[in-house]
Amino acid sequence: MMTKRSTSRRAALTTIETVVALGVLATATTGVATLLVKHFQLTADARAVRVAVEEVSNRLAVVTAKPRAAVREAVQALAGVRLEGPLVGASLRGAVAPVDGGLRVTVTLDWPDEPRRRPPVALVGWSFSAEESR
Amino acid sequence: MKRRRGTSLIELLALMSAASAVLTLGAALVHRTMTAASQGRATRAEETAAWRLAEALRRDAAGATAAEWSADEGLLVLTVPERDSVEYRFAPPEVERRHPQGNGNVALEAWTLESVAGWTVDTASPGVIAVEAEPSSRPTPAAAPVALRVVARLGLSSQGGRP
Repeated sequence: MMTKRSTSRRAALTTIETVVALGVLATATTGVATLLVKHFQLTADARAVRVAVEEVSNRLAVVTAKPRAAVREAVQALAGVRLEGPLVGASLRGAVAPVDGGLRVTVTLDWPDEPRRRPPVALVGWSFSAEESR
Repeated sequence: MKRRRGTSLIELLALMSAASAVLTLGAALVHRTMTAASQGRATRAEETAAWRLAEALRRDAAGATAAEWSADEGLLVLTVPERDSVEYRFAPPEVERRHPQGNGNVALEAWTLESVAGWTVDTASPGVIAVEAEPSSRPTPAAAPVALRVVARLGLSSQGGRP
């Protein structure tokens, strides 16, 4: 049973209650905004990594198709390549190692100047002459 | 005796201003969140289609020995030795892959890339094909036009398969 005292006391919200409610709402809004920004960053990162894998695959396909004598030069030339689109700011580098009569080529794409560090993308291919691969 | 009968006009105005600011921000944020969710789904679909198309192109190019591109028809034919050729028909926004299976059946696969206006296919370099998507200038459901460039070697899997 409700007393007369309690009904007269809860006539309206106090200023403090309203300010607290607005504060909670503002905090929730800030949290959602932060998550939204994070979502956009993750989407851009996922897109950039997908394009990076394609780009490294493309470079590897071209480099490993060259005659063995030209592979080292082609790999060194990767360092001077300027990338565009989602890969602006990324840099390519390659490494060649002799292995079992052929060459092991590693092409790596990195974002050295990116404030939010993205993981580098590296793929490996092998180059053998036609006689060796038989 | 209680002297306080209610809120003053100033307090009421201040609270209403604060409430309207927070509610406006909240409403804008809800709208932005819903737009972002829709964009995210579209971007995800485009990226997945681009990834799968690139993978199929590389796989088919590796098994092929020759490539022929007809710009008028938008048709790329990859010749596979001792098997039927694989055909890619580029008709933006769709790309269709047809591969006869030999028993009368045809394996058909299609990808839709709404943010692509056209395709550039280059088969001039010996042993290499290059396929590049031209981004559309129209607004698309995705956050940004999909970037796709595939350079693939022909006949890679017929060269011995040595690692």
